[in-house]
Amino acid sequence: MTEQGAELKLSGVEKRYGKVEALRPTDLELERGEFFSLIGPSGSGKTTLLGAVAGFTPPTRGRIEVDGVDMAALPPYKREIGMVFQNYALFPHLTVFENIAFPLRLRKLPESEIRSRVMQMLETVRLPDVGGRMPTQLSGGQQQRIALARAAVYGPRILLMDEPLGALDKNLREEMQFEIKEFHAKVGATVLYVTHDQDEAAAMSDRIAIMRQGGIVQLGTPRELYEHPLNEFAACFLGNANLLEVVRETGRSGDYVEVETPAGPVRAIHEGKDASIGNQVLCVRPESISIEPEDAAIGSVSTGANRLSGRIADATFTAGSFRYVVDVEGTTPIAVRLTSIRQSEMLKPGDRVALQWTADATLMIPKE
Amino acid sequence: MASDKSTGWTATAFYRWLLVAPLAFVGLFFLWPILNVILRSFTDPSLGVVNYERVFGGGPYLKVLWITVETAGIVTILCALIAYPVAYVISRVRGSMMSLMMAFVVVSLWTSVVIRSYAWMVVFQRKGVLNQFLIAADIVERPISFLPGTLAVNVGMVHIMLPFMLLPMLATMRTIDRTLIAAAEVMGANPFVAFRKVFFPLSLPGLGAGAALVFMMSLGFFITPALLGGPRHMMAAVLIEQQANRLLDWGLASALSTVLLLLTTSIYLVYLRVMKSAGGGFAHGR
Repeated sequence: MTEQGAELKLSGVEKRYGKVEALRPTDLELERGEFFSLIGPSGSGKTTLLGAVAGFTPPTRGRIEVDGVDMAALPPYKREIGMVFQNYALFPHLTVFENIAFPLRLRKLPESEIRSRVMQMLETVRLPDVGGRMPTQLSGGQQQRIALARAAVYGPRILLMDEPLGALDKNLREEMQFEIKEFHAKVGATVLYVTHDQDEAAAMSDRIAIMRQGGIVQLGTPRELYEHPLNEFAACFLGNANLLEVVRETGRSGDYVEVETPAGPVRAIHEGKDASIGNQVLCVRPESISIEPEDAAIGSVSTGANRLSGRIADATFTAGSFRYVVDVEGTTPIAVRLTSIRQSEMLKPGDRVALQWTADATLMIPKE
Repeated sequence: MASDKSTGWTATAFYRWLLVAPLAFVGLFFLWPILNVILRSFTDPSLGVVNYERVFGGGPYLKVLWITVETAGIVTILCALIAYPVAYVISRVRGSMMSLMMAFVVVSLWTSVVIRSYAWMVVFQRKGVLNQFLIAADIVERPISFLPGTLAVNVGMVHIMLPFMLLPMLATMRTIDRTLIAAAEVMGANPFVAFRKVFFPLSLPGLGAGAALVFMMSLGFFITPALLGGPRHMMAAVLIEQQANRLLDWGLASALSTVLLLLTTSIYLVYLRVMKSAGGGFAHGR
């Protein structure tokens, strides 16, 4: 059961419905045992891509190789792939045991082996005693664990997951993220995971592909995507981003660039990009901005840092962080998220504040 | 709140009063006559079980009852065989195509049973459409006498009962989640196996409801067997009508009615029991 995951390679996979391009020609390579997520808004093609790998939506063109064998033309039941569905898709007329045994019975395994494999799987998802119950007698989280067990019991080397946590409430979702990671480590299959929840993808994945309008916008580790988004869409999709218009470039020194924004001059890292054409925008993460009352900040201006002053429009406490929305003259309100809040006092709406952040935390990215 | 109490007018009380009229109606025109019939079967012409002895004492009456049960069984099976694939197809299409197909099913309910039975007489009569076709195609030399007869009754009843089999089937099939089939296929079931192991068992409640409905309706069916069956294929309802209206043997008619009523009720109870044990886990699930 703990076979190594397979290598999954998509080349030029494309899906058209008449003139509509649900999936533009797409290349994608998943390493053995990798946890790979597809994220994007609905209609971005992620479900089409998943359906192509599962065999439900045969691609119009392209190759889908598992360990070098093309299966683009095979029906789903010949692909030996496991899949977990958003609504669990447990068979309501069968007990939990028979649900998990279903793929094993199709493979005509001896009864004793079916028994031991199902019991082992129930242990793996830590529900050893529910075999005799009907699926509807289980909670949502339990049903999803049974769905995981059923998808992996026959040892598929690729596991597809289509928003498996979409129907669960927030706390349970976070618990299940951990469970799925642990499960992945135990069964070792290559996982292709679809979600529209960026935090979920970031927390679970080795790598993520951000999709939009039937194509991949950017692909990388969660950290790469967060720290070096390729464009405005990627910046806003994984994590939050404050965007500052670029009016013109005023100077350049080393890795840094001086830029004039409607709110004032800002220093940013240019990574070789040219702002003179006017198609760039500055991106600052809410987490990289520090905030202080304006009068207290006068003495502590660190040279080289970007500084804007404004007035707090909204202050929210969420578990673990303060969130501020600050009105700054000349630009759209700027979001600030303070995660080290132990010593600090919460500021109030109306307070005059100074915002500071480093040039290194200021990215210049192509505008949409 | 206080004024509500002083006038004695609460919504619950109001709804309770609303029930009086329908209850009185059902009691007067449905329950009372039935009780009357049951009573009469033991009292007419004299107190005792004479009428039941006549029914079960062998002879024509028992045979009619048997033909009735047999016909209802055949009609139910034929309806199930015809309706299942039709319901399956309709449950798979969506949108205007489905509305159109549903319309074809429902339209047949708009035409009266009498008219549809007469239409079958036109088809089956000596110089009817069917005989003309058979002669023209050189299959037979002389017209076959279909009327009155078993074939005509079965065909006519299947035609009339079909929607009652189809609609509950369709209702059940439409609630079957298609991702269950997809899940079965990913796990290695080819479409046929996925159907047999997932779709079919999940469609059984609809099949059961349709079968129970058609069987029970067929047991008491009158018009079609009266028009197409004649003495050679007499069913219980026709016999009862004959005894009550023409021979004025109300005691025997009542006994036959009571037997039919018992038969129908017990089939319904069996159906409830079977559905409960078969569907307990999932019939009322999502």
